[in-house]
This record gives sequence, structure tokens and C-alpha cells, in this order.
Amino acid sequence: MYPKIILELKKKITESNVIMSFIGPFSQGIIEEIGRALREYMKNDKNLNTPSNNVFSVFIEQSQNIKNYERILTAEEKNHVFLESILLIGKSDHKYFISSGNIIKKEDMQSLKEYINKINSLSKDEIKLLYKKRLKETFKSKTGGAGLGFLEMAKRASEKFEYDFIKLDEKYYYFILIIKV
Amino acid sequence: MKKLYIEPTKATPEIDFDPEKNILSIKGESYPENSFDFYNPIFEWLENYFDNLANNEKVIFKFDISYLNTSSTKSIMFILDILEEAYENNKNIIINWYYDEDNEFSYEIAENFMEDLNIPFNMIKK
Repeated sequence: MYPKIILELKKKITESNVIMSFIGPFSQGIIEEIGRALREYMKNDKNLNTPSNNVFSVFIEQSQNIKNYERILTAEEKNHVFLESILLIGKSDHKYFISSGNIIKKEDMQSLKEYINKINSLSKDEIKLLYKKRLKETFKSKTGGAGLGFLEMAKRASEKFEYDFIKLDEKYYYFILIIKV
Repeated sequence: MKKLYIEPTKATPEIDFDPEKNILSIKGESYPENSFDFYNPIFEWLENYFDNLANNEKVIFKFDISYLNTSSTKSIMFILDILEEAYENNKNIIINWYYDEDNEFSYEIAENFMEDLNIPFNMIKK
């Protein structure tokens, strides 16, 4: 690491319209603090053209999804070199974007991909209906589930989800998700 | 029956259940890491409270919620389920749901909830 790279990184981040960035394992405390900073930023945004709770909600669901997924990994998987999650919040073309990257096991990739494709194929009204249906079906199970979180994000999003799975090695992929609000 | 009071935190609402006045209130935002850990004692308190409540006592349940994450939404739905069941068992309950006109979120979540309920549900503008 050389000192100049700090400025180069900062430039790169700013040029990508990123307002806030975080790399590392998520904790509830970190999520709360980034959320507080995000709300503060939106309060001062004179060109905010969506309810701030829409942006906040996508941020919370996306980061808590990552946190919940980290929780199901074994200790060995957690020590994996690629564990670091990344979260970038920014604004471009009058829209906020919340972008994340996190490690995912190969065996979990297919079902996630199918689920996102399904959500992307639905209209806003269909998403709202499915959300209500899921909420009623699952609330008695008492456990949190990522399923409802993705639907909530889709309700708030102004565009379809952009995503990618980048192969890290035989067992792990890096899951990238970009949501615009 | 003892009062249930839980101080609000950044990610959890204030819980103020007064069994003498029969006014139960949930106020604030809810997005804890594990909603069930937070809400489980609340479910238990409520079930116990309604088991011991006389049918002629009037209960007001106040919700003043500005934001819920999806797992808290499930927990609030579970609370409404407990209230609905008590109502069907002839308990005299009304729900007052406070909302802020500037915050579509609080109105929308109430709309999602109330359509399946028989219990009197008042939407009150703050």
C-alpha cells in the first residue's frame, strides 16, 4: 500500500457517484450507523424525488439479507478469504442506488438466481400482490426469511434488479446486486 | 399483571403496555437484527394479558410506527393475530393506527394489515 493509492481510490469511488461505502463483515451496529448517515444525507438532498423511507428500506433489507446469510455460514466458511461484503450507496441520474457484493455458496446460487429472475419478470402490481400473499403465508413461521426482503426491495425499486454472480473458486461465487430507487 | 415497558432504541420501538388503564402502545421504528428475539416476550405478555382480561374491559391498542423492516412486519402481523383472536373471544378491543401524511410507509403497512381484520381499526392522522 502506498499513500497515493488512497487518493486514487477516493477519486474512483467519487467518480462512480458513491456517497457511502463499507467493506467488511456486517453487524447490526454498522447497519444502524450507515442508515443514520444515509437518512442525514437524504435530509439535506434538495432533489430527493422518492420518499426517503423507500431508499432506507432497500438499504435495510439488502444489508440485513447479507448479515443473515453470513450467519448461516460455518466457521470455516466464514474464514474464507473472500468473505468480505461490500456495500455502496450512491446517487446518479436522480436515483439512489444501493449496490452490494457478498460471497455465496455455489449450491445457493441457482435458487437465488431463479428467484431474482422471477421477481424481475413481475409488474409492480404483481409484486405487491405476491408480497401480501407471502406475508400472510409466512408470518406464522416466526423466522425471518430473505424471500420477503427481496419482494419489499422490488416494491420500492424504480428499475429491475441488476445482478451478477462472479466465480471466485469451485465452491464460492460473489453475488452482486444493484438496486435503484 | 405487570406493566410491560421497553425503552426505544435506534432499531426497536417503545413498548408501553399498561394493564391497569388497558392502553397498549407501540411507538417508533423497528428493524432489529432478530425481530423474533425482540417480539417474543411481547407476544407472551399479550397472550397472558388477554387470558386474564374480563370481557367488559375496554382495550385501546395504539400503533404509531414510522418504519418496519420485513421481519418486524411479520412480528406486528403476529401481534394483530393475537388481537384478532382475543376480539373473536369477545374482548372489547379497538386499534388506533397513527400515521403521518408525509410518510406513505406507515399508511401502506396498515393497509396491508387491516383488510383481513374484523377488529375495529381506526386510521388517525397525526
